[in-house]
Amino acid sequence: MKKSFVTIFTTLSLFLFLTNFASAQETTIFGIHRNIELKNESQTKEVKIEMNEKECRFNLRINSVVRGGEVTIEIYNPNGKKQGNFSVGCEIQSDHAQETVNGQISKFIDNPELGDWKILIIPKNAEGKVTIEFTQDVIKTSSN
Amino acid sequence: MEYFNSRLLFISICSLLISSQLPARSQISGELSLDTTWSRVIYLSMIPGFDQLNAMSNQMIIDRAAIDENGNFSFTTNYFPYEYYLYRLHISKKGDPPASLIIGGNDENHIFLIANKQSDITIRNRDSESIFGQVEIQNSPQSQLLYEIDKMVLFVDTANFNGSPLKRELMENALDEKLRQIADTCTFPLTGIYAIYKSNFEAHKATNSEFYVSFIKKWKQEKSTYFDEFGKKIPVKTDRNLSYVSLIFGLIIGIFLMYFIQKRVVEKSVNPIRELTVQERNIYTMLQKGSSNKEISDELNISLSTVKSHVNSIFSKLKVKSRREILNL
Repeated sequence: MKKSFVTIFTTLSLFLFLTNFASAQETTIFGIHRNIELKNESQTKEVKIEMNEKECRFNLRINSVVRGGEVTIEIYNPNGKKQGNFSVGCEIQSDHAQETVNGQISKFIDNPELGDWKILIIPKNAEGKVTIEFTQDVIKTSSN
Repeated sequence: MEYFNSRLLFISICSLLISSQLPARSQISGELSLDTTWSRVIYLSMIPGFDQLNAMSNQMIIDRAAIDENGNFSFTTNYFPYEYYLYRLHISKKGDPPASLIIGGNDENHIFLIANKQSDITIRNRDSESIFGQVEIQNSPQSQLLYEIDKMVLFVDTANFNGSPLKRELMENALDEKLRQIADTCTFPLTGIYAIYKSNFEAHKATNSEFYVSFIKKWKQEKSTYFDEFGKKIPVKTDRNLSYVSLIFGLIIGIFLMYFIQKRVVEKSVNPIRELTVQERNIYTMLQKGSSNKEISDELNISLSTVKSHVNSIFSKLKVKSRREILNL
């Protein structure tokens, strides 16, 4: 009886310790969600993302669906260094035959450069949609 | 004769060994383990230039193949050009159009290969978070190296540098340097350019221009659109340009030399009096006043023969022949 009590007590203690350890890491999420519709668009758009928290993870996902024309997406860090790009384009554009092209880029960077990150959307007679989803997950680790 | 026979035997064995190593089939095949979110069709695209690595359109797709229930697929490559080109294999998510490119993250849906008409490449993926996270590429060391380069870039991109942007910058610079080393030592030209493109070379064009120029010179025999495209971005000084530069430089040096020589000659001709001794200068001054040898002798308290000697010396140094010429100097 005493032995099983000790076993249960130890298991419970271990469980509580592990639960406490896990809760020492809390995550706060700041999110940005943008939908940009492109209707025969040829003007470059710039979207700024503010990274202002230290000890965080930069999560950026840009998705573009193009049904006509072309779209180029470029991502720059606060120092102006290109961190990623892609372009999607359609050749056929008519009422009868329509093609769709998808492009998606995901960037996950731990402890990135702080400041304004820049996303350039460079369309050329583009028909479609660009979706930008951004979160910065702040990881706070308690000392106790 | 015996030497000849043994050599013939050696060549025959070598030929047999080489022929046994040659690819028997022209194909890109493989075995992919996919979950149910992916369509069971794989697409092959030709990448015409390194600027189109991250570009997608239906026109880039040159072939498609079904992935059977065991994950097997196959493309024939016998219609490929003899020259090596860059190709991309990709898979689309269910519901997405065939022309779908996903870059980064667990859903990354593509892999690059270098192939030609005779390639027989096999790829297999192993258990990983993403389809092409752990891939084994057989019979194409240049494609395997492309894959390793991508993994290196991804590692630095996503690594945690403990809150130090400076450390990240140093790591990125070290990676760029490592990629340049790979490009420098790589025996596959396309893989070399791929490493350079991944090393953020546009930002280093000014600081490492000599490296890029030497890389182009190293592979000057390569006649491919990839090298043409790269060469346009890194202007190489041709020998003709160099000879023009040498000619202009030589002319400038020549003009400077002539200028200095002329200056010295003029200085010499303008100041011959500097070569006269103190006593000779005194006598020269009196000669210019029209004094006779007797008057000079009396004035300077020296003998007549000494005066004559000095006058002769002055004539010699000033390269004149008479007192009248001295008056005209």
